[in-house]
Amino acid sequence: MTGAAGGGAILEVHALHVTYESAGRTVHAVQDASLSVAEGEAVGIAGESGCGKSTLARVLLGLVPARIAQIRNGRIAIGGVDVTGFAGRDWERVRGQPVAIVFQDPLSFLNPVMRVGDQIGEAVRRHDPAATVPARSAELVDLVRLPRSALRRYPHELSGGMRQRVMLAMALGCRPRLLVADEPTTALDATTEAEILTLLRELRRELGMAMLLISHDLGVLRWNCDRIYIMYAGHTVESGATAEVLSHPAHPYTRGLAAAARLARLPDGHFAMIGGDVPRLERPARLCPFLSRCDAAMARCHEAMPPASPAGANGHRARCWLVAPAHREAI
Amino acid sequence: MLRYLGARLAWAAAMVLGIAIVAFLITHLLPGNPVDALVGDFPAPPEYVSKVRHLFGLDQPLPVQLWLYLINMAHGNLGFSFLSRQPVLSLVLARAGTTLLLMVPSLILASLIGVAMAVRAAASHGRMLDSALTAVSLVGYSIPVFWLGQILVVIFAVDLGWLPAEGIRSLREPGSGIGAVLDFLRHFALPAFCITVYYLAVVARVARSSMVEMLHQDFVLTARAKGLSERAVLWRHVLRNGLIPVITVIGYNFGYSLTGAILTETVFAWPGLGGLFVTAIANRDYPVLSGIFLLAAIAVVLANLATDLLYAAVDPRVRIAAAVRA
Ligand SMILES: Nc1ncnc2c1ncn2[C@@H]1O[C@H](COP(=O)(O)OP(=O)(O)OP(=O)(O)O)[C@@H](O)[C@H]1O
Ligand code: SF4
Ligand SMILES: [Mg+2]
Repeated sequence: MTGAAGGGAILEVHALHVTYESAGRTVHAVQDASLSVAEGEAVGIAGESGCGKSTLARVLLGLVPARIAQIRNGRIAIGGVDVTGFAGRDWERVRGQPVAIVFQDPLSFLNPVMRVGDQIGEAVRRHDPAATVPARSAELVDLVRLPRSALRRYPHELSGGMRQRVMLAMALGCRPRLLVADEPTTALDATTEAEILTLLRELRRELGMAMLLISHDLGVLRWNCDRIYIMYAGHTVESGATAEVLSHPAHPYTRGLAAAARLARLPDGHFAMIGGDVPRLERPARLCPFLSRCDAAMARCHEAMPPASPAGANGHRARCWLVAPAHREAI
Repeated sequence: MLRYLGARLAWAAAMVLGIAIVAFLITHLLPGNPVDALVGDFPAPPEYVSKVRHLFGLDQPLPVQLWLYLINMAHGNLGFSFLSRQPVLSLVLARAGTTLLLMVPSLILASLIGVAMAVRAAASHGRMLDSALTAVSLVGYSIPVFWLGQILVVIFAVDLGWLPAEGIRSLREPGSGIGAVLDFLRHFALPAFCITVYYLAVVARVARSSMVEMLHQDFVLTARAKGLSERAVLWRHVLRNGLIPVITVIGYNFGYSLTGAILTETVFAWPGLGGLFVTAIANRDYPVLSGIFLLAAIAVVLANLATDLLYAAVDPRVRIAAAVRA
């Protein structure tokens, strides 16, 4: 389900399968995920908690724990370079530049005993050898609309929104071509969330940088992404232009998500539940992973995994027997 | 920070006063009559006994003795040894100096090596180096120091004859200048090794688990995500955070350094506080015992003070919390 993006792709993920193995248990966190991000493009990933969004985001930078995580199958290419077999120091060629990442909880992801300025300066020193570190750091805090005095502060002395701006400044200090943002606003209150998202939009426009924005909030993705991928139990089940996918969802899971999003958000910010149980991730799915919860399931759904098939305009695709050509022929 | 410092200093001073009183009381409540020790084992005429008691102020009521002790202490006068009639302060200080000469370099060495090994081991979690370190530190931790000491003496002093078995300098030809330093180092090597091995184990154990814990913190992911080398991640990000609990242990070790080497000093006849302490106990030399207790306790208080300040220097969150409390 590679996207329709024209021009050079900064990121291409094909049929990726990632497992965690710990204490004798295997978790197939990502089972069959394919996506692409073109240079300068904003792409979203949506899906319930535990569907493998963070795993997918981190594996792009080799940030999954090396001893327990494993790429079993598939391929990741960054800027045309196949990084699938990367190990150890190889990843230093990817991290920061061309791909930077910001995480969900800006407090725990900042070093508590190091001044903000030093943490930003570290990124500059590593990726911008020509720059004067203090000058460039000041430029970066200006860029994320923080007061310069923030450079001398420690993370715990800042508010949540300011901390996320620090994370952004640090990421931008690496001069990335792709910024991965893994639920960057989930830990923030609604006002601060809106501010950070606005900032992200402006920065992207200013810097022409591509973004992979992960969220479980369809509303956030609707206003910030050109294209969107829906993930379910480690599979990318639907993709296409954001407006198209959200207004004409083809996959029953996406339909459920969109309906739930229209209804209400729970106090914890997550979607209202779709009935049924999320499949266990102990073994890879052989059939459609949504089968146990799907009320549109038919005989064929019990026989084979549905292929990714065209599902509408603008490269809209879904992995569901409802839109598979074989099914259309049958009816 | 200044207010915090002032409060900590006042607290330390109060502690020292309390300790002085306790040290005085404990030594005076120990069983055994010091007069017996002074006069000797043979039956002495009562007049002689009371003369001795009066000479050392032992005929005064306890509170008066305590008061006199505190007044004198304020003047740096800790009384005179019953045994040698020498001023306690200079006696104890001289021996304490010798003890510190052995302990401080050993502790510094143990702390540096222990932390360095812990960082490397944490980085190789579950691999050879890590298991090796765990084994070494367990062994170092569980071998009794006098046993290790005697093994070392048998091997290096008796069998190989490379190093002296005891003392701090050669009696016959101590030499001068470089020669004297080398002579000291030859005497220093074995006891210092014993102490270093033990404290290395103590520090490495705490440091290793602390470093492993820090290695799994989220901010380490951020450091890696910036493209830093694993080396930079370890030494710049993990180490500084992982040091916080280690500082407590190292501070504790330094605090008890005056009395921490008594066994080692005995095995190697190192002329430090240990020997003085043992002799003073055997002879119920109260003033010397009080002096040693007092000095050892002051060392603990000072080490705690230093630990607190170091803590605040490493961890800005402590600084804030402390400022709020002070
Ligand atoms: N280090 C790990 N070891 C073992 N299992 C893990 C590990 N990290 C994640 N998992 C498992 O992998 C699956 C996917 O987790 P992941 O964090 O990628 O999901 P997510 O979509 O980001 O969820 P959320 O919305 O809660 O952040 C989950 O079942 C999770 O329990
Ligand atoms: S393939 Fe079948 S089970 Fe899966 S979502 Fe489509 S209809 Fe439902
Ligand atoms: Mg996540």
